[in-house]
Amino acid sequence: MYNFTILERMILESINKGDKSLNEIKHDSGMDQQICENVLYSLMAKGLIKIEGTKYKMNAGLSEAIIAELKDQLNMTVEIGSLVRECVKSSILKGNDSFKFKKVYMSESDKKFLKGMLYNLETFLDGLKSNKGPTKEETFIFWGGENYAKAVSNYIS
Amino acid sequence: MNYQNSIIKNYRKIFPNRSLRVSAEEIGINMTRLHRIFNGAEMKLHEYEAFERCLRKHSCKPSQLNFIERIIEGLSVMSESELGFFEVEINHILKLKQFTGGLSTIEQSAIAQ
Repeated sequence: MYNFTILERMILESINKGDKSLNEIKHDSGMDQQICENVLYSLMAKGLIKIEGTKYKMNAGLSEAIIAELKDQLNMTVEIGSLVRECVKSSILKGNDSFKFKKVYMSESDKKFLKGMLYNLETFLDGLKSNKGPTKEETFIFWGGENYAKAVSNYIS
Repeated sequence: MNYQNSIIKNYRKIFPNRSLRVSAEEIGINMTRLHRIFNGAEMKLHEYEAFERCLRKHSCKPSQLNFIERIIEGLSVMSESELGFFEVEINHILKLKQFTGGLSTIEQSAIAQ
């Protein structure tokens, strides 16, 4: 199993926006050159990208097995979890604004009202998808909610 | 390389000049038995554990050793799905350390194996 990490995803997303040289990847991702080189080496060894001249580009002929590995749900859970955990840590340990958490009782009408607001939020974010900018300047946003007892029950089962 | 060879190779790398008598005392295995193990006799489970304890003792602080013991205890009570998740988490941490230069060459080759 190829454990696809947040560093590999970030660089892959950067190259996916257009073929880039090492220097361009470095500026687009905001990562150190040594880290970029290590990640690019790993991505090339796996056959996800290739180099033509000085430019790195996506490998068009990915096998279904590799695509399945990239979409592995367990791996994605860990990958997204690591980003969310950083926000939780930053918020709780450093007092930053990167994570908000509320636990409330909601009536059925409250739930409907919240659902409507989340729908509006999602529509707004979908409208921003065509915006282009450096990968390092992108913001990830998350939301959701779960019944308290159900979440605890899932956690201990 | 099987696990026994790997653990002995690791032991000899860390303690290249340690005599058989001192090794036997440190590991807690009879000297004759240890001589046989070094010459290819198959280790028993408690002997593996004795070697591992000895190697860990060398590379970890007491607080880390306690932590490792707790991790082993935790692993033993985890369900299969929890173990799968934990394994992927550990793989991510190790891989990120490889990328960011947080692992030595020896540790990187150990992961590659």
